[in-house]
Amino acid sequence: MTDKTWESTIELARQGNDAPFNAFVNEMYISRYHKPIFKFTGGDEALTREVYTNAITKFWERFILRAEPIPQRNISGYVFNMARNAFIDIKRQVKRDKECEFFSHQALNLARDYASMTCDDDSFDISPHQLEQEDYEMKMKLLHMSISQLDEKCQEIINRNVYNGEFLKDLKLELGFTGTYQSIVEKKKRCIRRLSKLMFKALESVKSPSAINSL
Amino acid sequence: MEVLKSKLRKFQNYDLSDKEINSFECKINDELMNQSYENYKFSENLSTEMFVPGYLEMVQRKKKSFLENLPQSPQIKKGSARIRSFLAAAASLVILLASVFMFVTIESDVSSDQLVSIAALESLNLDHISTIERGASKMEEANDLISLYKNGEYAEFLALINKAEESEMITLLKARGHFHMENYEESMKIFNTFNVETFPQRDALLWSLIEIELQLENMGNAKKYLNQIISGDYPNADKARVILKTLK
Repeated sequence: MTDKTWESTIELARQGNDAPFNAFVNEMYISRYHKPIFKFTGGDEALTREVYTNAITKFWERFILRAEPIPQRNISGYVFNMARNAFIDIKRQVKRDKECEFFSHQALNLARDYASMTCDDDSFDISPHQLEQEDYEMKMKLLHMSISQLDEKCQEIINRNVYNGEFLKDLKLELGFTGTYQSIVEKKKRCIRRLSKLMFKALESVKSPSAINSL
Repeated sequence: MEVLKSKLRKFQNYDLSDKEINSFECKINDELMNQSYENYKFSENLSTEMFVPGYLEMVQRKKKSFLENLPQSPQIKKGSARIRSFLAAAASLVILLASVFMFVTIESDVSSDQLVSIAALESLNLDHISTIERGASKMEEANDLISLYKNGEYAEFLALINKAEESEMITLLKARGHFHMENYEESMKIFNTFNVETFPQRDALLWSLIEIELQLENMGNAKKYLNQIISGDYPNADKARVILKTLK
């Protein structure tokens, strides 16, 4: 019964009607999740709320925003499992003194800077001025390095679409895409995915500070 | 690295299973591992933001709204909570005894081959293979393939797979498709192209190898892979122990 409600509210949310899903997650928090999460967080009320919120946000991101296939097994149990993952993630973040949060903002700013966009949103606690300049510059270098390792077409798409803001539909013929508009969108997706892999590899190769300095 | 990356991806999606969480928690305490996770998350966030500008902010805003609208928790009455804990403990004991009794009965009724098939299927984590593919059309493609595989329509599955762009997991399914169609030679040919050490979902590969080696009666190889499951403490290692005992 509960799984059916999950499924129907997810379906509605995917169609743009968020309200039933939001109401249902609140109801589930009280009736099902509060107690077990409260237990494994050691009786910390604020942490319980944070864990549940993180889990539900990830759930929303994956199954509503990205429309990933809904898990076939017990959805309520799956959400509880996501909460356990969220708890480990928070424990990890606390240990790293909010470094994780910092990195997430840094990724956002790096992407924006690369696309030459201005950051005028003040909804975040950490302002760009607080970012460590050296680390930031190193990552920008790695981003450029990673882009230069992509094939020519990918470099063109990223530089002209992301950096210059040119429309994909205008680039389509110029870059020799004879298929539908979707073909260049798919190509961009593949390029970005490859870029993500190259960036991860590059970041992994500069884990030590000496390597950073030698860049 | 590849094995690790699949775990990092799962953790970023809050998708680690109960068992995996425990072992991952120990690993994530390691500074280098933790840094790897940060690097992974960073590169994923960066590319997501480059692809869909404003994505991270949108998720943050939604999180904020979930948190703000979350109702206050109900007050737990201490007395009744104590009684309920006692009842829960008693019920758990009964369930535990019943499950031990049932487990012994079930295990003795199930053959090694069936156990291997169950473990192999579980390790594939079919529901989540498609989520590895980013991008709507890729996911759709993977979903079509997986539903054919799940329904046992292996011929259609193999016909469709030849048109698809293959990831490692999809290629593994292809090998398994040939196995189900009893094209053992073709299946083995694909299995031989895999590197067990670097395969992203190593336990899935190992269980599939065990399944085919048992079918081909190569007991030595099957035992070798079973031992790898046990020594790696992969999910279903307990099943591997049971099967290994029956093979001796």
